[in-house]
Amino acid sequence: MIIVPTISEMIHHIKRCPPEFLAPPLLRGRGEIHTESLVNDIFRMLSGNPAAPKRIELSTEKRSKAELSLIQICCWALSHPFFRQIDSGWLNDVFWSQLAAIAALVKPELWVTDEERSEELARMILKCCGYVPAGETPEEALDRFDSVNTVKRMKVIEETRAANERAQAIRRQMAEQRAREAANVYGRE
Amino acid sequence: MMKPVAALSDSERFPLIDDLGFLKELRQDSSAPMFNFGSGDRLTSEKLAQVNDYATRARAQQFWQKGTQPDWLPAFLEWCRATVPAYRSYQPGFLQMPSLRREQIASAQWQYVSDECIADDMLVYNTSGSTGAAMDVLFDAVSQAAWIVQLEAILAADGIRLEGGPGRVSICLVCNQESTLTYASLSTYLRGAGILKINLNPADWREPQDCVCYLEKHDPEVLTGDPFTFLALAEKAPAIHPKALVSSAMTLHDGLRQRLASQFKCPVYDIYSLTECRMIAVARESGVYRLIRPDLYVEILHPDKDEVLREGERGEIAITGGINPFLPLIRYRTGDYGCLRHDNDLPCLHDLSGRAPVMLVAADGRFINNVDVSRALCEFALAGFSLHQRKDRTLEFAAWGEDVSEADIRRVFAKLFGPSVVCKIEIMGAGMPEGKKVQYSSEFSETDVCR
Repeated sequence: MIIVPTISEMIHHIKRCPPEFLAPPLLRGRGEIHTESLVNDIFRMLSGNPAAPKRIELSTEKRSKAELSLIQICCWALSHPFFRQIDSGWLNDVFWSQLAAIAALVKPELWVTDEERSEELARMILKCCGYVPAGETPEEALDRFDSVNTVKRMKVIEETRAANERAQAIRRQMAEQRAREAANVYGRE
Repeated sequence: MMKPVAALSDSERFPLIDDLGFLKELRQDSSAPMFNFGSGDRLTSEKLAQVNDYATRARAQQFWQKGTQPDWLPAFLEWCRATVPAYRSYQPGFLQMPSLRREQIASAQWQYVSDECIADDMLVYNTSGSTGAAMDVLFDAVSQAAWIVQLEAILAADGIRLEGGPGRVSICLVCNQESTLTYASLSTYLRGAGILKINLNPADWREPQDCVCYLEKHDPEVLTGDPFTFLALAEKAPAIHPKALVSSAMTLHDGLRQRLASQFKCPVYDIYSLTECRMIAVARESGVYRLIRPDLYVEILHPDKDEVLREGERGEIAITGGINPFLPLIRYRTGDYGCLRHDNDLPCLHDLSGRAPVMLVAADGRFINNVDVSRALCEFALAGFSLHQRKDRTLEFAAWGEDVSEADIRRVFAKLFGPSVVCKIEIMGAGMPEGKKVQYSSEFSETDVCR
């Protein structure tokens, strides 16, 4: 039987990320960690075949430093025993392709130091592999993920900013004499 | 309150009218009043096409049947929820939507502007608050010009048609106030016809006979005014030949209607309208207001809860719809009360209240229009007030608001009603009770004034 961790357990695990996973990725001749090797090591571990040939092409030169850092943190997150119980097919298809957008919005170290970002990462990973944290219904899990989702939060901030700008534009126009003059043609009520 | 000032050139006011000769003629006429303002409809060809479209639709549209909702309602509500910030959080289902009060709009007009609107197209009208606290109402040139389309619809029901065209004054808005904005304008929709707004107050004219002379010379097709203004006009007895008189702002009673109809030999219409949505209904006889716009859905709501009352039951009139994208209304409580009945398949408002004419009399016996009182009190930030006049002409005034003193109010009343006016004044700070924010009452009746 597959034992899914609770969200607190996943958060706790992510926050215990060793400093090695946070070391700068090797990119254009600078940095320390060969992210692609790390990813393939994790993949071999999860697939239970330690001698398998390299399976995952990361094309690191096309990715940002922040994204590679986040991939490294994910590698740590995936070291949780839970992921060895499930099929690893989802990793290549879904997971690695989704991190670019979110990585640009959050400083890498926050994923392991900030409680809310750790929760976001934990929920994002569990959602990607199709499992609901222990003790939650699918609806609760979705709802809680929405509440910590950086992309959604940024969208709300952007919408709020746009709405405020719009309100300001209308208020400025309300103060325009031109708008008041022309409004009087048939005014008598 | 921000007083409007003339801020546009004539070519900005009338982008589609090349020859402004008639406008100059109306302004420079030797008997013309001393116009204090300028205003134009600002219709471009695109906007004029929209007004014409509205006119075509208005002619074809049918009223909803008894017990049903209009066909256009679902699409309108969907559009509101998608594009109007204040309605974005509304759940679908018209009857579940909350009603809307004037105060909600007055405190955040920008929340009711559709995202589709261009801010530059916005027009702002400040209502003096003859029945509620002063408020800025936002709209655009198209919904403003639609007022004429609505007027045409009323007249068309009796086979009356506005001729319009250059050289003809189609509409004259007549006021009888201490002061008001006056101007000569043109209507692009009526093909360059003249529009006048004049004040009967002798102080507005160079010579006493000019007012009658000017009206006779330009002989407007339609005159609009309130009952008191029409009474004052009737007493001046100009030899004019209007196709119709259109009264608004307060109830027109049958006695005056008959007098006006026989003197000016034309039908006299009493319009129920609000600045927030313009014309709603018309009465050809006392007490029955026929709805005139299938694009405005009217409900009667319970005064204290969002519950629709049965046909014939009396409650607060609420409006949904309209063509103003700067203020689309969903279940807007008008503050007026009445009941709705279908007479011959046409929805009609009966027992409409809140519009009773109020007779206020100055120390020297002159009639005072309550609009002048509202306007004069606009200089203070009052949340609301009530004014009652006793038969001995003393005034009883109660106001809710701060930063206003008894002396301020006395000064205003002395100017309006004469220095000898006696008034009892109560200023109550904040905490205004629910209900109409501005109330006028008087122990004088129409017969005291309409001799």
